[in-house]
Amino acid sequence: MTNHWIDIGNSDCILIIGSNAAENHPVSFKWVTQAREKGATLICVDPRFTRTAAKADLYAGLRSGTDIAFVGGMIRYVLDHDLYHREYVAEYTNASFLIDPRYQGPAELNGLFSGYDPLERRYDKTTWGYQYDPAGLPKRDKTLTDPQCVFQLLKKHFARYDPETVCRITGTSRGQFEKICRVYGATGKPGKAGTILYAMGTTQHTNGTQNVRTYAILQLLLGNMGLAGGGINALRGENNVQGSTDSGLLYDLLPGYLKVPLQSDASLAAYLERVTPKTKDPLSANWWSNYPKYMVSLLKAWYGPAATENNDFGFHYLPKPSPANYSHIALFEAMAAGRIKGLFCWGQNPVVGGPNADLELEALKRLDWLAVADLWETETAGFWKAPGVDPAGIKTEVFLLPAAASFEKEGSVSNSGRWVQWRYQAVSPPGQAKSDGEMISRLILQLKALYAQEKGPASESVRMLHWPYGAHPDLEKVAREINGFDLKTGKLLSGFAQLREDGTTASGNWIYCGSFTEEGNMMVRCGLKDPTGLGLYPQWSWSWPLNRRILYNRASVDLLGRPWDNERPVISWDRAMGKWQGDVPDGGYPPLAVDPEKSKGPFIMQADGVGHLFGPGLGDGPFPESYEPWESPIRNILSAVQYNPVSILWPSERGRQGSARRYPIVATTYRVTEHWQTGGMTRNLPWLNELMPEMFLELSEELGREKGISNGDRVLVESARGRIQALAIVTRRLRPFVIDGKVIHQVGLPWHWGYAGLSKGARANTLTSHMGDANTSIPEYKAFLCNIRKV
Amino acid sequence: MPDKNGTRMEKALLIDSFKCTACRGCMVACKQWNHLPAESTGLSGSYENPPSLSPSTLTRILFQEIGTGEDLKWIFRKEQCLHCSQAACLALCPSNAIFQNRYGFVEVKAERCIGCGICQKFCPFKIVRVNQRTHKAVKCTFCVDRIEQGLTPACVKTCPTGALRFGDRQRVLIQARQATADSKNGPRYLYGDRECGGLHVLYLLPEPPSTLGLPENPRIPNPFEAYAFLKDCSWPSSLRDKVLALAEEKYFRHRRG
Repeated sequence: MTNHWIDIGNSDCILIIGSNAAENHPVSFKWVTQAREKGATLICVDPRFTRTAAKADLYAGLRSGTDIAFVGGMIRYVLDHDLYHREYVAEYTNASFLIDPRYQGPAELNGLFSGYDPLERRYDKTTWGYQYDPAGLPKRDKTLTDPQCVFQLLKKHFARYDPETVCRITGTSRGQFEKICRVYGATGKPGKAGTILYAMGTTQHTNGTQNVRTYAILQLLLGNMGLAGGGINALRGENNVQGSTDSGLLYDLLPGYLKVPLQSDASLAAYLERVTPKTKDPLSANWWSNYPKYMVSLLKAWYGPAATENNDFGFHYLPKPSPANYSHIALFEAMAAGRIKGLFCWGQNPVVGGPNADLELEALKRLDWLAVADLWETETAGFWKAPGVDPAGIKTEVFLLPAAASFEKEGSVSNSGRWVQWRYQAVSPPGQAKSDGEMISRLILQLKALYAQEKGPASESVRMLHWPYGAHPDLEKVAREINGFDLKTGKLLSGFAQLREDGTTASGNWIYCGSFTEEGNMMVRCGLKDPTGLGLYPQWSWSWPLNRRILYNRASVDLLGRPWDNERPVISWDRAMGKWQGDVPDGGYPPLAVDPEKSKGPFIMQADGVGHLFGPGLGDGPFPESYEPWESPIRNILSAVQYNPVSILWPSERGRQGSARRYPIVATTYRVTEHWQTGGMTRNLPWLNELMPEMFLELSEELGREKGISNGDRVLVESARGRIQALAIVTRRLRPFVIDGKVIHQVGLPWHWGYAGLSKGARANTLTSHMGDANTSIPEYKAFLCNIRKV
Repeated sequence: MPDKNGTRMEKALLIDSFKCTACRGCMVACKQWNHLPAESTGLSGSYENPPSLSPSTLTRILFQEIGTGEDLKWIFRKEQCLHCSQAACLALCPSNAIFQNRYGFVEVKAERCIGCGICQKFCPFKIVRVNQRTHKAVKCTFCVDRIEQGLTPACVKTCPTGALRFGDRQRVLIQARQATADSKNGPRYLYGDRECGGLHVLYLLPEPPSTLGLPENPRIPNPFEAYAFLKDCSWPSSLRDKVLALAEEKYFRHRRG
């Protein structure tokens, strides 16, 4: 979240798209309800009429996987009807920047951007850059009229997303679509704030990252970034998934969103040269220019005394993966091919939650060993006794490590709003169950002992790890290391501005620097003061970065530092004091019109200091372009390019795409309030099983009539990957879409069930594919093809 | 109803369907506080479950689909004992096991209950259930054990959206009436203001109450009908005369008096 949970209550208009917040984030509706009480409008866009839709003032259905068309259409509407916040767009985004004249977009290249290599399925992004003047500064036209400026290119790009075309693609009723455009577009007026809440319904697509990009563009155009009641708010599906992402859980990231080094990074200097952005623009803070400080401090935290200037601070101890993609799909493809021999599965249940779950189950059979840390024996831990599997034929050695539940251990939890809160142990774990911290500590200490006598780089990676906390770590000590300290004085640091690249500071995660200072553990705080009255509660827990509650908040004011929204000012420039009042400012620089010498752009994490309408950083285009999902019932209406041209085609999917002829029905997967993720926890709780007792398939009354399926019938659902059975819920809440004049049906399946636990049922992910997003590789769970029949 | 110091103690719960997201936290909280077991259920074409109230399910969220196409509404309504001021169960209980406490809640005194089922039969809202194993009438207690300790009922405590509001009945009623004046999200109907002498569980609803299955004029049945029911029950002979005598006393003499 750029903002935070309480802040939803400040909004004038809440757009929930790609999220079923009422069902999957029930507490979020405390704030949504509060906003509505004050007169806010709630909009819900979803393929199904969900419990969120039931609460919405405006609901629109759309076919799964057509989000870019929908939001692209909203962007066009905002541009056509002059609803954008002109000054904000001209000053705080790259709308005025001139783009390389060689750049071409899908309007000219029939769905592709310039630089596409069809053999490699990737773009050469050379032509996606800015034009620079002789001083090396980007050329700008703040009148936004130059045909090569981003604003004009944006207009040209989205000109094809007219309401008629959009609704032909999405199946939305045109009246409803235009009403939503009008109502949400009204938040472009200064003094109004609109927020977008999204979740996995947005991201789990082959176009997932670009789906989010459409929100970024829309919110920048409407001037909604940095405002109270605005922002782009990803609702995270687990209580600490934000914390795990912050801590480098993703395959390509180290803690603090530092990049995992590649094999080609021959030295620390070469790595830093590659990853540290540069600018000559005096108006850009270019915060990432501090990269070396954060990286060296991380290495000092990890390798301690073994990290010295002479050995690149232990940079060579870091594994440098090749190939670079070790995302979920890639790992299981490698296991299926026999290239990976062992798997630690920590609080994860891929046999239920993984895409193409039968393939993932097969992959486990090829392992030498599998270690599962979980509360129960999940489907993954017990894959060797799955229905139809002969345990005698499986050689994989399986270890089940009983894990402590959240209330049985101490530590920090970072919520979606980046608030890092300390949690105490309430009860001791049962039996032999251990906290993750203890399991990992004991594991690394044992590994260090085993490697003690070995030489060579592989053993050094383990031997040199600095872990002075023993087998039962005091988590406050670990939290201090994550915060960071001055190695000369031993004093805790109070913020990342104090980090150094000379090896004199250590910090396990630069964005958490300030969470545990000489004043104590900031994460335990329970202060109830709310000076702004906006629900920022600056003394409640601690929020990264630097206790800032709303990111990009310097975009919430005009060039003189006066809030666009006087009713809900996040920050304002105090002329007399010469400083900012309110939230912790996103960079303490003075406003541009107050002090042009010292001022910097409000988007300090971008090398150019402005928000990106044109985003050359992604692999599949600087503007979002609507393609069909990997499996779709129709040909792409917008261009000749059917699906994301940059998505990786993994071996298991090549030539195995389900056809619309055999599988004419669009399917999506989702969660319900009563169960959580793969059900490992919730399907073992009778009170929850009572509420949601079995695996089901939701379908429309029209499809029910067509297929002779009634409520309560058992139905066979089949995709190109597999088949499952489920109980039919025939409902008016699902409706067929008319797509390009053709009736297209959509069905939905929850993915909570499996063959273990108290409530058992078929695994929806038997049906989903090993196709992922072009940038992140997140699997396309949310849109695929199937067919159904009554059993 | 004044307490011993003469101050009003009457409490009420307002169920605001506009704010209810049907997360069903209230149902789980109810079972947790009251130590009630889970039932074995199946799906029957709706998210609604268990299929009806029972001795181990004292509250449910009803999921009602109304209208079609773009006019579709999915309405969530919490079903539970409404704690009537003029309660049929109380009026008809031959063993005087049901009484109204100082908060206005209708309570069942299990030790006095003979399990005749007249409360289940004549509850205008079809709420009360007789446990067929223990032969005792069971329904929502309004968590009176929590109220006595200054806490709110378990369902109210767990509700994340503020759809359940608990407080002094007069105050809750004023809030509810104010809410009906707010038409931003369409009309709001208040139910329970006057029904059965005034309910202690009030509803704010987006549709007319009758559309959602609530009786328009809930009434206490006439005593002859009730007496006939008791007469038809298969009582052990030892109990039969006693029950009928009690009923006669309560239904007829009391009335005449």
